[in-house]
Amino acid sequence: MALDRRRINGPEESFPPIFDSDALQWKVGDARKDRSPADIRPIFLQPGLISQANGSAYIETAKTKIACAVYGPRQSKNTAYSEMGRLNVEVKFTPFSCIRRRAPMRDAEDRSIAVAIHQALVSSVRLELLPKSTIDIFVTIIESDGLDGCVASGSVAASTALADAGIELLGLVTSCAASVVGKEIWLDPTEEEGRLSKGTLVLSCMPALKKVTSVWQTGEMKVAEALGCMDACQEKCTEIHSVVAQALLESAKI
Amino acid sequence: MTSISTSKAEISYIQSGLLSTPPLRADGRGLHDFRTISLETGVAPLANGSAHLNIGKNPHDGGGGTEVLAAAKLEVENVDLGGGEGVDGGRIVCTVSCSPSAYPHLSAPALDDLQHDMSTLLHQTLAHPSLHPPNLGILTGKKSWLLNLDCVVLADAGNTYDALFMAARAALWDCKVPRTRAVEYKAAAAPGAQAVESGEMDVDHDAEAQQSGFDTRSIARAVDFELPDYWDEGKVLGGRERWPVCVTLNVPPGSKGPLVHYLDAIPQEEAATPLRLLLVFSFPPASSPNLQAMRVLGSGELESDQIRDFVANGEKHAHKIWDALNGKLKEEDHRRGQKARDRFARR
Amino acid sequence: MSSSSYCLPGQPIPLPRNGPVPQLGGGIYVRDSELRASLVGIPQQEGPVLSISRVRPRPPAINSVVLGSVTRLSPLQATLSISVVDGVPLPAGEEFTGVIRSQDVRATEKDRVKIGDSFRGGDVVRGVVISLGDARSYFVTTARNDLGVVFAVSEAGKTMVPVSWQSMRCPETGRLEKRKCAKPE
Repeated sequence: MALDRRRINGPEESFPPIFDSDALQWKVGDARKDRSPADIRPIFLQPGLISQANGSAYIETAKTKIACAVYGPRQSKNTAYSEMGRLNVEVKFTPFSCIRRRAPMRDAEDRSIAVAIHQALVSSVRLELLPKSTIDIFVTIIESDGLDGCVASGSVAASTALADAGIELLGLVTSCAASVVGKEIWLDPTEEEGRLSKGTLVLSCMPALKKVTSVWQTGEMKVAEALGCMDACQEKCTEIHSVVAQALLESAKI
Repeated sequence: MTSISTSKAEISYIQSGLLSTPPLRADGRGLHDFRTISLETGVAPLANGSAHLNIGKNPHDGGGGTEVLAAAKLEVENVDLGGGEGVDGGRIVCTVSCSPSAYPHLSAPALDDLQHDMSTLLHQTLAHPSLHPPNLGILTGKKSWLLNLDCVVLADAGNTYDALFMAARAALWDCKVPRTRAVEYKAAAAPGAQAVESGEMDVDHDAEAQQSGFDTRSIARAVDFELPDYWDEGKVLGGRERWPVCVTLNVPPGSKGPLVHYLDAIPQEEAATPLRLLLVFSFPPASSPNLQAMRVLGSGELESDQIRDFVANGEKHAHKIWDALNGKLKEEDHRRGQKARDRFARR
Repeated sequence: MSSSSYCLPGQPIPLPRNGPVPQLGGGIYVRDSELRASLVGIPQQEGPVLSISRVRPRPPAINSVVLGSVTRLSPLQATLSISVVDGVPLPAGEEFTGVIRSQDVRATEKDRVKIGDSFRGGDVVRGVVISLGDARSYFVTTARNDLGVVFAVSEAGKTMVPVSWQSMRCPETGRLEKRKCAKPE
């Protein structure tokens, strides 16, 4: 657009105002605001919302909203012969998913979340039954409330979508995040809590087999804290598993 | 990670070797033995800190091994509350690039993904606020240092992650931040100069500023800085002893009961071991060790008891690496200090 | 747990109390000598086979009966776009590529086969997968009486009817065209 030099032009970019009062609502050391440290936010999970996909799921935990679609197995294109199937995970943030607008193009964060979700799922899929084929998982993050929450909820949604698509799995994968804030372990941290924490851990496991498929820890943690986070997450994963089970059974019976 | 084609027979040969008692490895090492590591710091004269690391160099002809070059370079960045990326107190950006000559069998997109994954892990670990050095700021609200840590994988003979973290620690240890001094233009009517964090302040009396009636702001007035040192002198990064080391525990499939894990895999072993656990430790002097990152990579399953076990073992291994690396870094500092003194004496 | 209830992936499936240990069909795997489901569904026993069945598109495997249309011909092979596997249609746009090599067209006189006299572009062919093939395509054979062209259009644009195992007639012009026909059921 041509710049009109005869007038005073507005700024080229604009950003939402940041209020001091928002940032200062609580600080490290305070008690958690809306829930107790070991509580996770309520989960809404619905398989089969995207009808054109082979399988799909939509998950919502408070402000995190993720839609996931599974296509395939389809023939692997442009790759060498492989005895095992491939799992291809792609993550997209919608431009309006964060406080700052995200330009609609692939960026670094998308890929690191995709890698984390891939790691959580890859051991649960019976890829040996699908030679030469690829399963595509598309995860769309409609609203994000912290990266760790996106990884955890994204893994749960993707595993539900895989089950909905009728792809053979060793077990359902559920996933939970935990942060060390001050001296306490807070489960399922929000973006703000994650920012103020020392370190964060996301654990993905198959509760039915009692196996861990992925641990994704960043930041600083004592060994005991990390192990404590893992135990707490694993316990919560069992609870999340029953949510997933109920959602899948309801959709299977219809 | 490695996609060197290894036949099924070879894979099962390597696996059964690792699981047999006593364990057998192709190069005769024990399960928890590292290959020889060589390290040199200060290899890139134009960087603020650099290191060259090699794991597993062949002792006879001096070839082979995993080669990683890491360099830290500082740039001045404007702190901009609006759209800019600069932050008060400075920031760190880590990038890993893999030389195509190290991975001739990978296509360009696959190589991109690989180096992106390595960059992400390195960046998420080293640029985390818990490790942030305190002396990367220059002028509050105006300027700060951007520390670019660039690692190049020149050759991959296995165990790249451990090599990357060791090289990164060495380069950051070696990194020197130039001393800065704030410069202020002071209007005669304005209140006195405020001390800015690094060093005393020069005050220039600016005649034009004196006449300006528009300046009604009451923010810090230090507007620029100068470098009192030569470019290659300066202070080391604050908290440089905290930079962590990584240990990769490779878990061969089919190991049940008492858990088998081994360290420092060569590419063939990596191909035979789909599952590995990355543990990044930092050992603060007066307290228990910190875990700075933990990742499970590859397909396979672990039980939580096994992870517990691995973390305990990994801590021991990491501590050995930590001690050895610290010794080497002190030695390098000494060697280079000696060299500098010699050169100075000759002049 | 009754046998008519739904199972979820990873859930253990109890063995039937009496009778022999069943053979495993699709959707079930063994882990540490325990049967577990790998699909959402009801385990059902048909004869000796216990399985959880799920009608959904799946990639071709060896011995899958596939339907596909001929997309390309060469003297050595015909390329097939597989759109139905084991009676289950694949979603649009997710076809698999198959190849019928000249030695797989028929069981006898293999060296006399001319691809041009067996298939034409656009023919719908029923075949059986004999190999997962190479990186690009599955190998398909039509070397059985019930395999071969099941639907073809003549040069005049009409659907042809088979008259023998190697020719079809156009109902409008009455001309014969050569095809490797599948025996109608």
